[in-house]
This record gives sequence, C-alpha cells and structure tokens, in this order.
Amino acid sequence: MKDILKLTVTELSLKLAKRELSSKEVTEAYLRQIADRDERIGAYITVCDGEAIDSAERVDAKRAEGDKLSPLAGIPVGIKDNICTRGLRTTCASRMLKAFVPPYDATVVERLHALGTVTLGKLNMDEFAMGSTTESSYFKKTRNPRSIEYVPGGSSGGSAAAVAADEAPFSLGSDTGGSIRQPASFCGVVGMKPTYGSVSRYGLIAFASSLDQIGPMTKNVCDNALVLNAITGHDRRDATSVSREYGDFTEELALGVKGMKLGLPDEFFGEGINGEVKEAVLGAAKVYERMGAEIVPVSIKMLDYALPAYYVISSAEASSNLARFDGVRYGYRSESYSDITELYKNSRSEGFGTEVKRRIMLGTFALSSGYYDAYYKKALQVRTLVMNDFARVFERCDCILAPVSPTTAYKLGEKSASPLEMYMGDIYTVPVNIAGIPSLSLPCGTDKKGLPIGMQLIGKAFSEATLYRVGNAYETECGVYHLLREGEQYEAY
Amino acid sequence: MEQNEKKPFINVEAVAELARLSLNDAERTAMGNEMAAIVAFAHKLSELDCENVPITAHVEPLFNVMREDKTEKSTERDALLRGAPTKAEGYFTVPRVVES
Repeated sequence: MKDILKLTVTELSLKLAKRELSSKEVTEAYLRQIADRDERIGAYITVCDGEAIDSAERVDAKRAEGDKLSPLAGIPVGIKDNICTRGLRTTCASRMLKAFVPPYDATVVERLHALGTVTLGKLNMDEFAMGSTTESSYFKKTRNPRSIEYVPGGSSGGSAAAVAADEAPFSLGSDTGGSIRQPASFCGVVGMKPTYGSVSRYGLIAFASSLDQIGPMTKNVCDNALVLNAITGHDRRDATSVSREYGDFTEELALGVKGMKLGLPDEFFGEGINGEVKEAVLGAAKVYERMGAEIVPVSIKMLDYALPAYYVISSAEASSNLARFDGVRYGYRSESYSDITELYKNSRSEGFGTEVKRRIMLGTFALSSGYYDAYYKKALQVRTLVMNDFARVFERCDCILAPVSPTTAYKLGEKSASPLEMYMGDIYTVPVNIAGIPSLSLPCGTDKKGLPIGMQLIGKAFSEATLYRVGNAYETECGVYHLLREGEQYEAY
Repeated sequence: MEQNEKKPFINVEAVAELARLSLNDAERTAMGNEMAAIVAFAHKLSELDCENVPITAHVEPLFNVMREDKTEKSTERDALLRGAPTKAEGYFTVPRVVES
C-alpha cells in the first residue's frame, strides 16, 4: 500500500471507510512523522500525542459498531494556533497568550470534532497573524520543508509547512491579507481564502475583523473542497456570518474548463514580479487555453492602492481588537506595576512583540484625531474602488488567474530588517481580502532553486465551487504538486 | 492642513500613550522611523480623488443580530476565571482604581 503519509484526505477517507486502515494507524503514522521531522521544520507549537490517539480510538470504536460516519471521521488535522481549542493551549504565537487555555472551542473546531477529526496539535504562525514569514512567532521559526534555508511564508507558515512536510494530511489556517495563500504558495500546497462571512470567525482570535477568514490547507484541490464543506455555514455566534445555501463545493470538480473565461489582469504581471513566477503563471494560462478555456485580458487598476489601503484598514482594526489584551482577565500580566495604567502598559509592552506593537501604533495613529480622514476614511473609500474594479472584471470572466506572490520563498532573515519591504510582498493577495471575495492558491511550477511557485484563482463572492473546478482541472492535467515524485515536473509549457 | 503634508509629523510618544504601550528610547526611535516610512507609503492614497466615493467599512451589509430573549447556558464562571492572572471570590482583581 502507498505510504500512509502520501495519501490524500480523500484517499484516507475511503480506506478508513473500507477498514483497510484504522484512524489509530493513521494518527500514529502522523505522530511518528512529527516526532521525526518537526524538530527540523518547527511547524507545531503544541502536539497532543495522547489525546490524538484517544480520539482516533473513539472513532475506530464507532466505526466498528457500524455507525454512519462523515468522510472526515478519523482523519488527523493540524490547527493554526489562533483558533481556540477548548482545554488546549492557544497561544497566537505570542508571549501574551503563552499560557492561555481557552474555555471554549471555535465554531470550526466544534464542526470538525462533530465530524470526528483528530486534532494532532496547534501550528506555528506569525505573532497574532501579523507577518509574511512566520519569523515573528514568540516561540520558534518554522522552516520551509521544500528547502530548509527558506521561510514557509506566513502568517499560516506552520499550517502550510505541516502539510508540505507530511506532518498533517490537512490543516486550518487564517487569511487576513494573504496568510493562507502566500504560505501555501511558498510551500507548494493548496490553500483557500473563502468568501468573507462563509466560515464562522467565532473563536478565531481577531486581527482585522472585516478581513479575517479561516480556510483549509491541503495537498490537493479535491481535499480542499471536502474540508471547506465541513467548516462552512451560518453561525449565529458570528454576527458577520452569512446565512445562505452554500451547496457542495466538490460538485463541480470534474466539469473541466472548456468554454470558461479566465481573466488575466495586466497589473499583476507588471514591475516587481520575478521573471520565473511570471513565466510559470503565464504557462498555467497556456495550459488552460489548451484545455479549452478562453484567456481574457482584464484590468484591476486599483492594485497599487489596495496595498496601502490594506495596511491602514488592517492596522486600524488590529489596534482596536488588541486593546482587549490588558493583563486583567486572561493572558500575560507584567510583574511590575504600581497602578492600573502601568499594569496595562507594562503587560502590553512585555507581552507583545515588535511587529504587533508596530501595527497597533500604526492603527492608533491612523485613527487618531487629525489623521482619520486622510488615512482611515480614505482607505475605506479606496476599498469601494477596489470592489468596483473586481465587479467590473467579473462581468467579463468566470474567474481571475494571477500570481500569489511576486517572488518565491525568501531566505530566513532576508526580509526581517525592513517591515515595508516585507509588506510589499502582499501586493497580489490583499485586494482579495479588501473585496471579501474568495481565492484559491495552488502550485503551478518550480523556480530554478527548486522552490514552488503559486497561482491564485480569484472569483466573485460565493463562487468557491467554480474556483475548485478550475483548480482541479489544472491538477488533472499537470498532476498534484505535492505528490509529484523527485525530478518530476509539471509539463506546463 | 497637516494631513495634506507629504510627511506628517508622528508624535510617537503620544501615539504610544493612546495605545497603552511604553517604549524605551531605542524602540521609540526605531518605531518613529519605521512608522514614518509606512505612513509615507500610505500617503499614496492621497493621489486618488475620492470625492463622492462612498466608504466601505464592511463588505457585507451589517445589521444587529438578535436572538430570542430567553436565558441560555453560557460559559461557566469558573472556566472563564481560570485564565485570570489574579482573582478573588469569583471576580477578576486589579490594583485599586479609586482614590481612597
């Protein structure tokens, strides 16, 4: 039999259902892999060995009794450490929450548990999800499993690295400005940023509430659709959750792209993009053409303005959201203070890392009297213009094909000196969050250094099924990147 | 108008006070320089004429979500207090905040 670790969620699910494998065997295989590899990769902050085996055994017992189980029953999962897990430490990769044990589960965790998934542990990230390399974690740096000298991307770097290193068959990440798609791209896995409001944010530690969404990270497109089915849906505990009929995201997977129109936005291939990345994404466009899709030139004129607007909006929301960390009800409290103001200040100053403080400061500045109109209000107006751009484009095509990041993965330490330079790397991902629309990130090649290159398929709100269809067509034609053997290449162009 | 200047003056000390953060001298200098660079970058937004463009604070129309006015079980007090740095008799405790 194929190595357990190389099986996709879909394949595992079949084998578990047919009892060719038990959940305990699968869970043990992953825990062994974590024990063997994670010291080098650093994907996990917390591993739950004992509890994982226990829950696997419970699922196996249910199956033995003939209970009807979900396709995800008995399948292990790694969870980003900003998603609350009851009784299991949730740190947000911050000193502030180093010892925080949530008294409740996030809705996504509750949903997964109800379906019988097995939690392997909590995954590393940039502190409070602010960053693009996972280097701002209080605990450790995660390395890119495809090439150990490189960062896995961020902020969901642990979630991407765990899947790429076969330390989890799938994981959950969160995406505020690209935090699922960019690490998926850097690590050669598949990640979805769903439509805003489709996955509950209840229990996701808030960074920028109008932009944050939880989404799946997987080996291939089909698995991603399967997991998104499990976590999507209305939740009355999230006031921004959208109540509607979501349908089955796997339904259109096999339909192919013949007759579809894919928009290629000029601005995403301009100055600043690395030549190999550009070539790979344009190569993917050729593959789609060969499969019968039509490539339509389109334009997102606001691209260059979306990035500053994003940094203003996200920092403003962060400064407000992170005001709750005051050393009183939970989280870190400084040992030195003489009055309540000093307690707040010292706890926050000692508990937060540099990047988090920088964003809080920026947000506080943008919201302060005299600057509010020039920065925050202006950014919200630009947000409208970005949304209008997308709306116009989607009148002419079914989805947009674009690069995820202007470059492949950076070397560790390469971007940590200049925050602004690091922010520039988010140029292609942030417009999607600003507009609240979905985007699927999947690999479309490798550069000369052997690092994965990612493309994103951006669609209008609630068009996830279409994006999976288009993504799956590419994988059917070119193979699943994660499962290619050494030396095997996409024969894209 | 100060908001139209190319490089706005950032009073790092005052912003830190609003954000309830204390920065030492070295941090204050570094933060000031980095913020200036980022704010100058954000100033690109001023190139756009946005008169008559409505703001979008949120991509979905937001409205109050109400539930039926019936008591429901919520998280146990003890569970919520478990993470508190200090507590007494079922309450969070803080240093004295009223003058004696």
